[in-house]
Amino acid sequence: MTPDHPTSVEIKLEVRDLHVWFDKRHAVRGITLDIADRKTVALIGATGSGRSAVLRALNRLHDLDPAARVEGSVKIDGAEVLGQSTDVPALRRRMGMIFGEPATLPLSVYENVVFGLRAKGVSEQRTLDAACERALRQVMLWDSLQKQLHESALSLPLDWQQRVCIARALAVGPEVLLFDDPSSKLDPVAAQQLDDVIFRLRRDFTILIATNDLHQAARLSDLTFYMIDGEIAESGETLTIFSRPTDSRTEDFLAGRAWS
Amino acid sequence: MGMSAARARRDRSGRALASFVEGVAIWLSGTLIVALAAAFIAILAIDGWQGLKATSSSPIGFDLTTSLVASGYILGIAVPLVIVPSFLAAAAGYDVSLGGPLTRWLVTSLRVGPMTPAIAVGAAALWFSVRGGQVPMYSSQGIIIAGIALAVLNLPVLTRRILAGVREVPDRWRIAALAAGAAPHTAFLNVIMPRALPTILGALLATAGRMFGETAIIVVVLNYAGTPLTPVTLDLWRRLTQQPGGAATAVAPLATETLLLVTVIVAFRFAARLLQGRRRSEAA
Repeated sequence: MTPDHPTSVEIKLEVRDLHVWFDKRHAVRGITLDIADRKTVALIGATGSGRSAVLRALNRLHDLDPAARVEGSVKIDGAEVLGQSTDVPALRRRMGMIFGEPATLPLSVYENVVFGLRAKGVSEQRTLDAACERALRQVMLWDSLQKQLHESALSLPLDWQQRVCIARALAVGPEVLLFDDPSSKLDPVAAQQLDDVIFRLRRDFTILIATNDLHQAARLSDLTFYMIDGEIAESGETLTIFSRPTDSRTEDFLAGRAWS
Repeated sequence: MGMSAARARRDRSGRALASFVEGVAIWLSGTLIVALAAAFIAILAIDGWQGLKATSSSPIGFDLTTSLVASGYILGIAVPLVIVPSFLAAAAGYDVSLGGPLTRWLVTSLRVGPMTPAIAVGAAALWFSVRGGQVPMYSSQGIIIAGIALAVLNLPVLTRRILAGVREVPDRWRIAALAAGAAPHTAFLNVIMPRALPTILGALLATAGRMFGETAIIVVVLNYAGTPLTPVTLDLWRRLTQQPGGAATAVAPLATETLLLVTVIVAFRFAARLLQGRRRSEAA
């Protein structure tokens, strides 16, 4: 199902008939969606509805799971990403992934942020320094961390770790950011601060957020997709979905009646 | 509920008793080992270096230096020979995308039949034994064969230990590194390996210690006894089984070599445990 949105805008991501299996479990069942450039899309739904599986299919993280099988088509700027010839590390730098639990590497703050750049082959110190500062400024941590750059990132509070992970994704110059329930491990105050960071990023990146937090989805997204059992039950402008859902299942979910 | 609470209390007291008994047993055995080591040192102190030198004219002779050299040669060949394939097989076992066809075949064959290398070495040793004397054991060829056999024997052991060490590193770090755009080998070498290194070094030391002990067995099955270059463990075995001389000349070299062996093996194990302990504390 494709939501109604202006067709004149440039389509960044095209997903066609996407299926994901984990062994025999059919987790995503033929999803089709178009995401315009620099739009923020929320994937909402109950646990196990296939939101994370969709995100992981987009940047080929299912390749790491021998039990996972992906079929269908995913294109970024018209180029197929599920093909054999795709440069997967380069694809993952174009589509940065932020996990629910901060995926902080056991390195210093600085090395965490420039990790992707080093993996890309960048070694010039000035370039790395500039990228580190820029990325940390984007996540509003530069002022707090500029004197702790060479301390272990694992010693930071959880919400700062999450923002360092976002900075790591930003440092390589991505075009798409994939957030997989980014606030799930954070307290409400930290989650609010993280939302502020994501809100600031909306204007520069195409963003997909899989979230259980309906407030987060409502506040951050332009479009919302509601998923049930691996399928999109309803999609559209976020304001419309949250104020006038057409599907009774969406209405039940938004009212907290569909969690079982 | 009452029954469950009483049972839980009994379980707790049973566990406490078992823990106490285990503690006492460990303390007693530790004390015994220290006492034995002290006794060996005392014997050495009494007999002294002169006593050791006096045994050089015995039928077997005191050839500690040449024994150590032989063991060193065998280990010098075997350890490097086993490290590279073990490491590559462990890497391929950890992440299939890291291995080439050969390492993938190696790790699969080790997974399916980890005893195969030992059987192959045993069969080869039997063959050598039956056709004894055809391999010039007095030359360096015997040492090379022993080194290769040791490497092959220990390949599955070291592979499994390295793989276990690598798998101790939380998988989320590998996924995070790959998600950040790193190639699989970059993630493995830059993120996983530094964290697994203490465990891997511990595994290497433990395997090297095991190989040091196995030099005797290898040389025995290769019919290598009685040569001027006798590994220290074989020399010890010969003294235990063949020394016909008086007790005064027999005890000192026996004690020396036993103490040396115990010290080396304990040192290997201690170093391995130390490194693994450091790894665990870092992971915690």
